[in-house]
Amino acid sequence: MADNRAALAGDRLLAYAALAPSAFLLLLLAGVPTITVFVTAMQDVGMGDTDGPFIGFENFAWVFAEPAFYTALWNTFVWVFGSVALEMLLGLGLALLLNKSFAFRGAARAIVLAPYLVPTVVAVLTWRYMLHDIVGVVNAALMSIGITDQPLLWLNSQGLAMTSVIMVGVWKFFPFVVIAILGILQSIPQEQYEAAKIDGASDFQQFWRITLPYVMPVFLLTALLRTIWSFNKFEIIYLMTGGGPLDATTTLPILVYLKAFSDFEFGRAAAIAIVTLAILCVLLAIYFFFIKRAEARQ
Amino acid sequence: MTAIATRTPASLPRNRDIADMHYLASRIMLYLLAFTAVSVIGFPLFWMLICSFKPGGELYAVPPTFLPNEWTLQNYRDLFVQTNFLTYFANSLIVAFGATFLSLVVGGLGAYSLSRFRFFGIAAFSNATLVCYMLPEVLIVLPLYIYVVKLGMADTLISLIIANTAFTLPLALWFMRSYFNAIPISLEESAMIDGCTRLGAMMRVTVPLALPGIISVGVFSFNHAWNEFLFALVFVSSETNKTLPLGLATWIGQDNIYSWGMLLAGAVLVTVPVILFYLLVQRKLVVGLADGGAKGE
Amino acid sequence: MARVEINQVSKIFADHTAVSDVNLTVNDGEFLVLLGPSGCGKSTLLRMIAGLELPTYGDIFIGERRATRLQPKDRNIAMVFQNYALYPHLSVYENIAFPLRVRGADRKLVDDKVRWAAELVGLTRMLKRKPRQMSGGERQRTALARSLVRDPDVFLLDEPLSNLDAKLRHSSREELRQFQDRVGVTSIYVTHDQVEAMGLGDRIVVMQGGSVRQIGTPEEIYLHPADTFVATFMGSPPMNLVVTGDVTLGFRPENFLPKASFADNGPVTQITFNVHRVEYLGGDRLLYGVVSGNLPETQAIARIPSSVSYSPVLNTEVTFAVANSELRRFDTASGKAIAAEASMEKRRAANG
Repeated sequence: MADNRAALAGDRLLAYAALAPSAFLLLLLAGVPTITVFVTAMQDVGMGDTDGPFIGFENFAWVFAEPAFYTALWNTFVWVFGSVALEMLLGLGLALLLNKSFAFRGAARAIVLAPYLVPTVVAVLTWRYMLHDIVGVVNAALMSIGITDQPLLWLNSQGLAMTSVIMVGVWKFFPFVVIAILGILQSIPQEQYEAAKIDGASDFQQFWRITLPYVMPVFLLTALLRTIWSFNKFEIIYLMTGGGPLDATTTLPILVYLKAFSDFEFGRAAAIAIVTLAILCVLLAIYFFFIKRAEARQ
Repeated sequence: MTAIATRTPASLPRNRDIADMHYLASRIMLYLLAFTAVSVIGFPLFWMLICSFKPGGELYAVPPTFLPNEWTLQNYRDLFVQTNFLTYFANSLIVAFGATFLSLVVGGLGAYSLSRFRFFGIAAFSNATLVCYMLPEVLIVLPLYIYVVKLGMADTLISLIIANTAFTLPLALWFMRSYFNAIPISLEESAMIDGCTRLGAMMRVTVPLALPGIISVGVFSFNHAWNEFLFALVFVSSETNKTLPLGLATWIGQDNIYSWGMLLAGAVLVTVPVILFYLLVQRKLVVGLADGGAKGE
Repeated sequence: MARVEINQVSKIFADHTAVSDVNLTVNDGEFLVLLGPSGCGKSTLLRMIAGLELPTYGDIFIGERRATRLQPKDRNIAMVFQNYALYPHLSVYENIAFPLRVRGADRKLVDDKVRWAAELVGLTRMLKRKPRQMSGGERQRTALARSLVRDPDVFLLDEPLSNLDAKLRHSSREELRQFQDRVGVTSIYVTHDQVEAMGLGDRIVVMQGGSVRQIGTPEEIYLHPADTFVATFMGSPPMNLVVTGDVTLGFRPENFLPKASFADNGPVTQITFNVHRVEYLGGDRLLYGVVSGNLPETQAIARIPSSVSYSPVLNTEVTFAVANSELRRFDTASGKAIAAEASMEKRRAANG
């Protein structure tokens, strides 16, 4: 009997060949670097070097004894929790609003989504001009309606810097939530609302019993995704405040950057990066658990 | 037919009374809410645009003027004459197009393979790409900087192009796979029976059909590379190799109070290509982002 | 044109066996139908002939060539897909021209061939349209024209009528058959619809669970099913089966008639029938009931032409009968037909 199993392998070879360049690049740009960070974290790399003697877990011991690390951890928590919570609330509200039909809805949607498309550096520039303590329009507006009689130091006071950064971050990134939720809102079958109306449900009951349960899985998934991305966020904070004043807005990614490229302590920076990655892995695990469960349900 | 149609409105009372207060109130509420939301969210970009036309003195007026008293293009002129803005712009174009091209070609092949073949490890690979996309940039930039220095590629645009694909490639793989999945496999099989090789079937049938999707992936990649800041900050040191975000950021960093006009003008110009591309793929973008929501920052 | 030989072909996927040890010869110019329920392996078999799947074991010959490992493009076959697989980005003209363009045929030849094929299927006036602007029937004819332009050796059709509505399906079936008679290409046609198979095929291959159950002309398969699966799969309503110990009796509803309607032409077997319900279909009446008496109680259906005057009495035992020549016997354990061989031989001799 003719046996063709060897020839079947040819097709498989083609499949792997087409995938190889992608796999190679991803390995080169994400896989190998991640391992390198582990190695670097175990080395004593100082002052502008890229290599150094092996010192085991000393850098990690330093990290856990370093007060700046705990400050950054707390700042990261405030930044992530504050911005994600506000983004989700604002995003849900605006998605519900933009799902209603009214004149110029298309234009309204475009304007609401615009901040997400604008390059971060542009967003930061504009806001820094607006939040400028002397010539900024925000202080001018607040003073003219009498909320404050002195200019507020939005970016240069320890108390307000984090609030300002969160405000700008929310403005820049909440449209993602709007897009995700608007997508799911439009997929709710209208028959469900019609049936509910016939059954005598009020507007609020329709929202509570149909819209909300429908939106909830996407809402949670989006929140998780925003959490992961906010956790990794570097440039918006760096460009707004550079992590300051003092360390008021230094989150973990900022701390890694400053240790590596301002203090030139690569080993310690790598150790902080690894700890950051460990926290991120917990978030990723939750994310993939959710995805799996959602897929299983379909 | 027409007789009936014209008679109806006159002979029957309108069912929705014009003076239906409840309905009217809810409409007014809706418009008020929408107007407020749009003005607050849109204000910063509006402010950026109009202030870029204000002359130097007016930008520092306390309290600020709302509309410019005098419209001027001086800021834009200064930008081109006094700074390296054009160099930055050209560098950004090179990096963004380079990264886009690389991820479309490499990612296109990979996505085709992921979509058309069933083989061992396919799920693991897909998840791995997603994880790549979610790694913190700051984690990747440390070791990449070490490689770039060791390979003597520091301060080159090519290093930026390759580094950018670390994030644009997973994006391309994910999106193009779903676009390819949407094209029935029988079209390719038919082309193969009609006399094409597998590659021929892909180029003659699959790629033309996936073109709208490929274009929108291209726009996403371009946008990502166009906005990228951290890699540029770490890899590039010389003035001639700076990209736009890095160039503008260095001006902020100097916090030179006399440069706001040029900065705002620069910001407007950096935004223009992004908005143009957005208009090009508007519908796809919204659908793509909402679809699974898992990717696309 | 060519004959197709399928030699001990099996296809084993990671988790199941789709086709197991199929042997089959399609004669030159023959219209062969692969028939079976979904998942029986008929489409996989067709795809192996097309070269879209490689058989795990066995060989396929097209003409005199061993084609088992040839690329689809090197087999000189044409295929019409279930969804027609028209290229949405090309006009009808370009769709039909595609196989020629791929081969680099010169412009004049392409144009001649496309117009010839379009003429043949009656699409001459629609050549500029895109597939999405056409009806289901027009798409199907476009697919046909595309498969014709380069004189294939073998013509493969994968349920090409299943996306059409019932009326169109009937007329398309007619067209398809006339068309094949004219062109005379060896054709292999896959369907799950037994009416289509009976109407189109010179021969029918009934498949189930990856293996061939019976090969024969429509008449052979209908009158002398090789086993109980074929007996119940063919015919609507299906053959009545009554299990009596080791032997299962089978008779078609249209042969199951009141005793009174049999004149003295040959021996009959009497069966007691209790009718529960009558369904009026216009040309026929279907009598649903239970056979009993000397047979174990079993559901059965009788089909009586409306032209036969008979008024059924419900829920009463009545004597029905089947002519002995129409009575089939199957081995209960294996399901295989028994003793059909003798009568089959006789019939063949008479026909041949």
